[in-house]
Amino acid sequence: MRFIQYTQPSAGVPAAKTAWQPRVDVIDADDQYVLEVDLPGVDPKGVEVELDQGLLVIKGEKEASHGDEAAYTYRERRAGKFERSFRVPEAVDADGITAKFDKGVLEIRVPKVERSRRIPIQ
Amino acid sequence: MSLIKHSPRGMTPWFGFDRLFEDFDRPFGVAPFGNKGAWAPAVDIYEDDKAITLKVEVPDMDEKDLDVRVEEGHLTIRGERKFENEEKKENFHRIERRYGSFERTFALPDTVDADQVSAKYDKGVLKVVAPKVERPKNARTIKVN
Repeated sequence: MRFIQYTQPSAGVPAAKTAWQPRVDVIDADDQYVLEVDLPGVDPKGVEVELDQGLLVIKGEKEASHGDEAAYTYRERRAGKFERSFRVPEAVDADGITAKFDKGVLEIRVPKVERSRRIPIQ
Repeated sequence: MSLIKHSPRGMTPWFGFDRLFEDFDRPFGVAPFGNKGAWAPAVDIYEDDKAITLKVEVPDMDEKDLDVRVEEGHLTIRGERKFENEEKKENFHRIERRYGSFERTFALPDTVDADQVSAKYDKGVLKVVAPKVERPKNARTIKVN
């Protein structure tokens, strides 16, 4: 068993004033890109997913575990505003993007569009 | 938290000394005691008059994959976040999320009722509540002669 070293009195980071970044997995599947964003404890209503000029932006706000700062005896979870941006390849179907939330994970699916299309010869 | 606590378990001649150092190591009464495994999920601990509450970030899991137990004054939370995906691993452009087994142990002060600890999983967060017990005051003043 390993013991945690207490080098700082707070032993944790208070909610940052700047946006924090959630951890994301990005999968390049055959017909779509899939982004899996860890957002445990985040209310889906407070999350925005936006594609603007090739930039996919995920942002929102996460509520702290407790409203009273003085109530904490230990703190590691990030709270407050968060944001991540990803440059999206050109050939995606912006209108076909879907997002769903389950068990603290936001899953975004970005369908690809075929760059070349075979033209049937009539 | 009071510095003077009656503890039958700690009744060694230097028990007062031990407690002092313990309190020095754990200035907040409840603090992480140790971690094992591939990663350590983030934890918040807060306290009010009624209970000590822990919130642990374990997204994308099922209740059955989480194990919460109280043993000898310690609360242990174990689990495994499996890397399960229908996509082939080589298709991952970026893997930032943490996977694998984890174990975190916390020392519970004797002000909580170990038999009444409850746990609930919601939206990727495990919430463990350890209610406090009402105890008669054991501390007494020793008269100095």
